[in-house]
Amino acid sequence: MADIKNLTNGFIKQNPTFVQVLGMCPTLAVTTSAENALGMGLAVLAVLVMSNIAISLIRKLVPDNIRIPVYIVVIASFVTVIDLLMHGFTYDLWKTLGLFIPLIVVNCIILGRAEAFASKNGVLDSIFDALGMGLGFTGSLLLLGSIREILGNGTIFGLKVMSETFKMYLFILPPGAFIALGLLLAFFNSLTLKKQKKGGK
Amino acid sequence: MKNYIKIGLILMTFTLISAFVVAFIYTAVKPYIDNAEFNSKLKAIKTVLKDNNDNYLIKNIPENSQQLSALVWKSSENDVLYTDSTNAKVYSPVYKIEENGKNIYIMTVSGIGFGGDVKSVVSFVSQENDIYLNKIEVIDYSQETPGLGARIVESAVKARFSDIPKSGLEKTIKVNKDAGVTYSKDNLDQAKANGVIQLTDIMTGATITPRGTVKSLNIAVEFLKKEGVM
Amino acid sequence: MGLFAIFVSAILVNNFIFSRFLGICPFLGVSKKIDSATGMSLAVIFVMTMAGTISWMLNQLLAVMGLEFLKTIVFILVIAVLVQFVEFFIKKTSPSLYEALGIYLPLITTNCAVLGVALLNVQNNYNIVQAIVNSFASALGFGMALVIFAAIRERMDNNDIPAPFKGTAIALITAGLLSMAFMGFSGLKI
Repeated sequence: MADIKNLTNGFIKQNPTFVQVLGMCPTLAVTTSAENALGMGLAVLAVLVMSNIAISLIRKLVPDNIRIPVYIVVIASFVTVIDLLMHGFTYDLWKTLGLFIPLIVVNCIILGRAEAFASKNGVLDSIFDALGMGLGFTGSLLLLGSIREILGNGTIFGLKVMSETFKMYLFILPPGAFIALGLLLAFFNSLTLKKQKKGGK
Repeated sequence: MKNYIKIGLILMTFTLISAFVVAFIYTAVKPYIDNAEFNSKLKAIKTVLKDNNDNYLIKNIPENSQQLSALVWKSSENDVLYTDSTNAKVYSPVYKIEENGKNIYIMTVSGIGFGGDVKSVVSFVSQENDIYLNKIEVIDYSQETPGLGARIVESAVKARFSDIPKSGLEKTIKVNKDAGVTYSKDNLDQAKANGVIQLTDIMTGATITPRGTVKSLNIAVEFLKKEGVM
Repeated sequence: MGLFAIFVSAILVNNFIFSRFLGICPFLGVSKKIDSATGMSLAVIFVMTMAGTISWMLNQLLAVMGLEFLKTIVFILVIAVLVQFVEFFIKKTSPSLYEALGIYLPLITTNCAVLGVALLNVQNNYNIVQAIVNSFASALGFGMALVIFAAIRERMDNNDIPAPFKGTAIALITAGLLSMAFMGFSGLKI
């Protein structure tokens, strides 16, 4: 039975970035601008959907003790396909994301969803799960990318929104990535804590 | 033992299927990839064929791969035509366009930046006994720090690397920080004539990326000297 | 680029964690205790150096056959097999080391620092010696960052941290400050 809950789970309750803290490398590395963040998020989304479908289809054919290597091979193939497609059709984005496209292979979110969800559930549910998680990831990346681009460069998607004077270069530099993500995480934590307090009363 | 073989075979089957799928898609996408690579190269070449006012220096602009390959001046079997001790490189091929007594040399060069090669396409214009560096277009800076070294692609920064006269080229080109001088905005021409790239006012903090770019310009000049152009 | 320059740049200037953002998951996951951080670092140094070297050789082979587009698949398989092999080997020869590394070994497969170094060696067109030096130095830089960070986190346990910042949030901000310190190395003239 397909369940719409599998779709919405990934948005907030099980958000891969802010709740599960998975896939940190691309989250920190490519969020220097909103555009890069969106591109990376969509690439992960595409790989996630394809790998969840494939793994859900082959889940009964794979012996238990070699499932991880098989999943990795499946994921690596899809990543290579996305890499090739981006190279051919979105050349500039492919150049900027560079090394982090092949590195989607070792993004814990994808292997994590394959192992925790797609290997146990039907195709339709797996698609829902992948869409939810992928969109959740894309959303988080976009949020972090926008914040860093606005604070660090005074622009969003290349459009100027803030005067030069208020630019804080720190936020596009590597330390800014850690700090911005840390602060965002603390912000979401405080929201959860407030909710819990209310629930407690 | 039998079990191991069985597992191995299953894993091999999956790997083979995956490899075939990927190979199939690769074959299908390859023409598009080549096309995208070529277009980006052509775009860079066209950019360096323009002067500071965005007008083309010549009339016959190459538009496709045949026209471009007709302009090849020097090339070699391996990718690299010329390299030096700092591992700056001139890549094959180097193009030469002749028109109205003007010779334009276009080469792809690289120098080591912050995380790897900073690659640029650069054009030199020679007329009679004079030669100058017309324009530079940075094409690969993927390993430079965003917001710092990666600002090398901003047009204001690239402008400081262009229009360097013969006197500047003959001295070894340096960034102003390494030369130990600072020029004001109005004296940029004087800076260029002395082979100094004034950068500290518009590209604060970054040193390594511009240094890599400067090395790539110097090797381009060395190559031209070696070939007897200057 | 000289070998020394590659070595210093891989450890300090382009530190895998603080400037390239590779291997963040184990960096946040296994940095709560110095002991486990040291164990993880040793395992990573070993696997990364091996993986960097072997994948470089395999890439030459792929290049000869014109199959370079398969490199991601090949590299990740090499790493997975290598990790299995190392686990098996250490278990046989030194059970005490196996005890110490234990659970960290299988985790290395999904450490993007390992695949990252393999891909970077290829991307930078290193020769075999440069590739080995780069792999080893990058791993050393990763290990160093991990141990430093674990030492800080052990101390942080005793501090009074505001509730929402507890756990990963404060860890990330600490890493940000460390990363700022490491940015100082980018001025090194090598």
